[in-house]
Amino acid sequence: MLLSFVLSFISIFLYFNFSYAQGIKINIEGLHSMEEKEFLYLLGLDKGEYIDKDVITEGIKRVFLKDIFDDIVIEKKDNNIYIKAKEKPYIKSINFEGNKYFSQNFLKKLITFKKGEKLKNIALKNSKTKIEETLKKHGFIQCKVDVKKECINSFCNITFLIFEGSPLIIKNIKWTGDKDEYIQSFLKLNPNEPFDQNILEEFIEKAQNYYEKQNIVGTEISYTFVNNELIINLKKGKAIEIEILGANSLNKGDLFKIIKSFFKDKIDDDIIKDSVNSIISFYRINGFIDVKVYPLIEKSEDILKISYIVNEGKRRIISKVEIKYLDTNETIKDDEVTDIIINRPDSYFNPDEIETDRQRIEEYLRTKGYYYVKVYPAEIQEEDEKITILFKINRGQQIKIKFLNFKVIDDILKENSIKLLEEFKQKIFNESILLEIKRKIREIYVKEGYFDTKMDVYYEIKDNEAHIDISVNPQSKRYFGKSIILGNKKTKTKFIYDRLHPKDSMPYNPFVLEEERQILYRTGLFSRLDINHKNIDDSIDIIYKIEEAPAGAFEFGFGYGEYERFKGFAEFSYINLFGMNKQIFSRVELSQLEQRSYITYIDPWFWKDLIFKSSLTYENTEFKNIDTKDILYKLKRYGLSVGFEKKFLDYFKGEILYEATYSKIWDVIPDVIISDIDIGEIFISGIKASLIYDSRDNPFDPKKGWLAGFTSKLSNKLFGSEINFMKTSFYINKYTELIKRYSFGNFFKRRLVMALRKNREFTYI
Amino acid sequence: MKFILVLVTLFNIILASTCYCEIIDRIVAYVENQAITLRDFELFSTDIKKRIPDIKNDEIVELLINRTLLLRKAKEIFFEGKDEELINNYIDLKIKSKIIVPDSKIRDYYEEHKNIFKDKAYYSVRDEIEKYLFEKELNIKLKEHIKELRETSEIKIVFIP
Repeated sequence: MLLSFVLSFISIFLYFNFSYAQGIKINIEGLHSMEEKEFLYLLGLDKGEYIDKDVITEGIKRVFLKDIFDDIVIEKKDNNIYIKAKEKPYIKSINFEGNKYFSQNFLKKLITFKKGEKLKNIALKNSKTKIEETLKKHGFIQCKVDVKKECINSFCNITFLIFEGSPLIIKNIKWTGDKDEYIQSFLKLNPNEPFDQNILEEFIEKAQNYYEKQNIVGTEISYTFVNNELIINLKKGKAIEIEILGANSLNKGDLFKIIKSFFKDKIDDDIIKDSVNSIISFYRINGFIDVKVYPLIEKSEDILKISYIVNEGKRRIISKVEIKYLDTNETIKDDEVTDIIINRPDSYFNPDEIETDRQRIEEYLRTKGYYYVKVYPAEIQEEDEKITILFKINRGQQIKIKFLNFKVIDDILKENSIKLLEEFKQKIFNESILLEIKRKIREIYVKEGYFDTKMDVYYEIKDNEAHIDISVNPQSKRYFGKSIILGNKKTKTKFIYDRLHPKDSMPYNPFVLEEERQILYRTGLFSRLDINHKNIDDSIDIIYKIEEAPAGAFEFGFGYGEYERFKGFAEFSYINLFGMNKQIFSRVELSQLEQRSYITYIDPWFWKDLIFKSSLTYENTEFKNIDTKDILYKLKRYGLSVGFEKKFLDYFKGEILYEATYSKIWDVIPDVIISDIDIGEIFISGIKASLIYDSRDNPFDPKKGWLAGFTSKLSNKLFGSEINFMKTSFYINKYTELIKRYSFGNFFKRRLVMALRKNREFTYI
Repeated sequence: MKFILVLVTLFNIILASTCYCEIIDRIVAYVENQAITLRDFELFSTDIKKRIPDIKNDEIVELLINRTLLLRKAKEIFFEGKDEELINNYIDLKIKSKIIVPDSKIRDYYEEHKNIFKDKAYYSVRDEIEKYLFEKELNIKLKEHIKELRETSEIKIVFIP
C-alpha cells in the first residue's frame, strides 16, 4: 500500500519534471521555401527536445530574418509541437492595363520588384508611386495608378491599372533673356506635345555642358509653365579667357589645369584670389620660393579675361641635409633620417614643409626609443641658389622596456598573457609598441570568447627605463550562437553551412569568422559577404549576408591564320551546378584543319578537401605541310581522365588521375617520320600521378615564388593499354621581380620516356 | 488512506491524459524581416500598462512597431548598446539635435499665457517654458520621423492579442 502510494507521487513528480525534457514530436505546416532541417536549427528545435520559451522567441526572430514568412505560430499540444508557418506568396506575373501612351516595357522598368520574388506590399506601393511620379513628370499630371492583386495558393498575379488621363499640352514656347539659336535647337519639345519635364531637364543639362566646354561660366537656364505656355529664360554666362605670362619653368598645361579647376560654376574676386594662391603653392613646392603672381582682370560685356603675371624668381635646390647630434657632437649625413622628410638632398627646397620635416624627424626618433628627443628648428644656408639644411638634434637616452606589470580579474588567461609579455622585455620603448602590446593581449582574450575585454595601459619612464602597467577586465565570456545565412538564391544553404566551421556554443572568436569569409570568397560564388552579429545574452548569432556573383560565363572568338585559315572558339563555364559549387567547363575550337573540344567536370568539395576531376576530350586534326599545303597525316583522338586532387601543407598539391586515350592516325604520306606502331589505331590506358609545389604570390600575375612539378605516367596492359611505358617529366619555374611591375621567370623542363619492353619507339604519346 | 490513494492515482491519470494546447509564441507583427512576437508584446505590455493602464492592445502593437523602426535605424549608426540606449541615442542625434527653441518663441508663449504664470517674472519661468516647448516640438518631429519611416518600410500586423 505504502509502496503504491509513494509510486503514485513519484509518477506525478516525474511527469512534471521530464515532460519538457523528453523527446518531442514536431509537426510543421506550410513550409515550402526552406529546408526543414535549417528551419528547426534556426528555431532552436533541431535537437528534438522542448526548450525554453525565450529560446523559441529568439528562434522565431532568427527564422524571420530569412524574409520569406508572413506568419509563424508555435503551439504545444500534449507532448507535441505544432508549427504553422505562412510564407509570403511568390509573384507569378506582372501586368499593366489601361496604358496607351506609355509602353509595357517603359512601365516595367519602373517596377522595383521582379517576377519570382516574394511579394512585399511596400514594393507594390513604391512601384505605384514611381509610376505615378514618372508619368506626371512626362506631363500626364492627372495620372492615377491602382494595383490589383490576385493570389491563388502561394502565387500572386499583380496588375497595375493605369489611368493616364490627358497630358498638359504645350501651346507655345517662348524664349526670354539671351538669344542663342544654336542652343534653342537642342530642345526636343515642340508646341502641341505633352509638357515633358524630363526632356526639358535633359535640354538644360546639355546646354550647360555645351557652355562649359566653350569656357562660358555662370550660365543660368530656368523655365516656367503657365497657361500652357512654356517660357524658357536663358542667362548666358561670361566667356573666360585665361593667359599666363612669365611662366617659363613649369608646365603651362599644369598651371591651366590648376586655374580651371576653380572656374566651374561661377567666378568672382575670391575665386580668383584662391586660384592665385594655388599657383603660388605649386611654384613653392617646386623650389620657387620667391614667386609672385599678379592677376590682371579685363571685363567686357561677354568676356572676362584674366592674365596671370608670374614672376618666378630663382629656383632653390637642396644640396645638403645634415644632422648634428648634440649628445655625441657629430655631424653626419643620416640617410635613414633624410629619407623620411620632404626637403631631401637634390630635391627642390620647399620652405612650407620645413617645420613639418622637423616634426617628422622628432616622431621618427621617438619610435626608435628616444623618448626625450628634441629637434631644433632647421638652420638654412643659401649659396648660389643651393640650399644647405642643418637639423640639430638632442636625442637623449634611448628608453627600453624594463618592467611589465600585468593584472587581470580572476587571473583569466593570465599565464598566456605573461608569457606573451616576456617577448617585449628589453625592447625599445615607443608609442607603437604600446599599441602592439595592447593588440596582442586583446587577441588572446578575444580568441577565447572575451570579446568585450577592456584594457588599461599606463607607462612611466623611470631612470631611462619604461615601466608598463596593464590591467585587463575580460568582462563576460561570449559564445557562438546560430549561423544565419541570408541572400543566397542559387547556392544551397546546406553548401554554405558545410563550408562554415562547426562553432555553435563554442567561445566566440572573430578570427574564425575571417577564415570563413575567405573560404566562402574562395568558392568564387559570392561577390559580397557581410558578416553581422546579433547578441542574445551571452551568445552571438552570426548573420552571413550574401550577394551572389554570376556563376556562368560564355566566351567566343574567331580569326584567320595562314596555316589554319578560318578558326574560332566558344567556351562555356558554370561554377554552381546544383547550387553546390560543382563546376563544368567546356570549350570547342574549330578551324579548317582541326576540331578540338573538351568538357571538364570538377567537384571541389567531393570529400573534405579532396577535389574530384574528370574530363572528356576530342580532337580531329589534319597535319599539313606549311609550304606545300599537302596533308601529311590525319589524327583522331578521344580522351578520358578521372581522378582526384588534394592540397596539403601550404604549398603542395597532389594529383592522381586515370587517363585513357584512343588515337587513330591514317593517310600518312611516305616521307613523314612517324613510328609504325603509331600508324593505325592505338588505345593507351594508365595512371598519372603529379606532385606540384606552388609558392607563387599570385598565380595569375606572379611576382615571386616557385612553381615546380613532377609528373609520372604509367601505362600498362593491366589497365587495358595496348602498349606499356612510363613517362616522367618535371619542371621548375622561378619568379623574381626585377623592377617594379616587371617579373622574370626562369624555366626548366625535362621529359623522360622509358619503354617497359625492348626497343619501342614513341613519337605520338 | 485508500481514498487518498485513489484520488492521487485518479489525479495522475487525468493529468497524464489531459490534452491541453498552449501557444508557445507567435508573430504579432513584423517590420521588414524583423518579427515582433507575442512574448515581446506580453513583456512590453506589462511594462507599459503600469504607466498607461487604459492603453489598448492595438496601440501597444503600434508602439512596438515604432520602437522596431527606430531601433533598426539606430543600429545602422550605433553598433554597441542596449536597445533602449540605442533608440535614445538615435533620437538625440537625429531629432533632438535639430530642435532649437528661439527666445522669441519662449517670450511669445509667456506673453500668451501670462494669466497662468500670474506674477512670475519671465526669467523665473523661462527654462520651464523652454523645456515644455522643446518636448512639444520633439513629439511633433518624432511623429513626423516615424511616419516617414513607416512609409518606406514593409510593415504588417498579423495578430492583435
